[in-house]
Amino acid sequence: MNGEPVAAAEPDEAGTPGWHVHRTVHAALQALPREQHFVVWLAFFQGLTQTEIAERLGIPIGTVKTRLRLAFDKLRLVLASLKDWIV
Amino acid sequence: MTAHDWYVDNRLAFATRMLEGKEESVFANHVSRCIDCRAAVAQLERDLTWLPMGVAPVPLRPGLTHDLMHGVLHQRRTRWWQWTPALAAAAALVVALAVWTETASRDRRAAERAGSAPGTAARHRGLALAILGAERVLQETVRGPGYKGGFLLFYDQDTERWNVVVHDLPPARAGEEYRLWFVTDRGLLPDRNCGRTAGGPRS
Repeated sequence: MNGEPVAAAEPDEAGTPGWHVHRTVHAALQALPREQHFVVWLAFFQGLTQTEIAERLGIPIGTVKTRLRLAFDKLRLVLASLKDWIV
Repeated sequence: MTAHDWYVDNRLAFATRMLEGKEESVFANHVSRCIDCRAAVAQLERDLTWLPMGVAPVPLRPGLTHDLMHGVLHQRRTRWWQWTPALAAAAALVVALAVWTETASRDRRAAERAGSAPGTAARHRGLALAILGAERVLQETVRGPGYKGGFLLFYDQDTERWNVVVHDLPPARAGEEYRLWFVTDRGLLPDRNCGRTAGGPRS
């Protein structure tokens, strides 16, 4: 997927501010089933509406909603743990 | 299916800005009146705060961290570790918060005056409304010995500006003040227009 968020290969990446968070979020996104991952990517990182996603993928809008809900249910668990990172 | 079920079904879509323009307006209008939906959307937004970090952080130029720690924070070398969590998070949002040496006693008096100014409450109300209507809001808490503050980054659609709010951090120590620094592709640059509000950085 062109333009998809990817983990950059920086030699000193561990010293980059926010890298821990990025690695965690990136891993959570990668762990999603491909169809859920793709919908999240189109929605959150490409800014498409659910109607546009449905048209792009040729699936019912209800399926878009279902995939997003399933994906975010998983992501929320991971993202919630990050709240402890800064405090 | 009740009329309210549609809103429940679309809370996630609203929180992630996936509704069409007209639907979004209808939902926004509902959210302003429905406590349950407002709370649910707020919770979703909080839960998803870190999702933008799925995009790799801005690559910093070599030596930037060293420069930051030893150049900007050289006055606080013994306590720099207290600021690294805030710095890391802020830099991840392309905004770095740092302290900078300056006079403090004058600033402290100015802060006391600002805190009691009649316009303060009005400014806070305006800010709250702007955040409520913001297209994207990122927030994080920063805790330290005896204080709990944080920062907000949000986009104000009316002014078409990104706003950074840093709040409730401890007063600047004597000889110091708060300043905002921006991590750019040219390195770490100070916000020269940042207000020198003592007692804590202003929004």
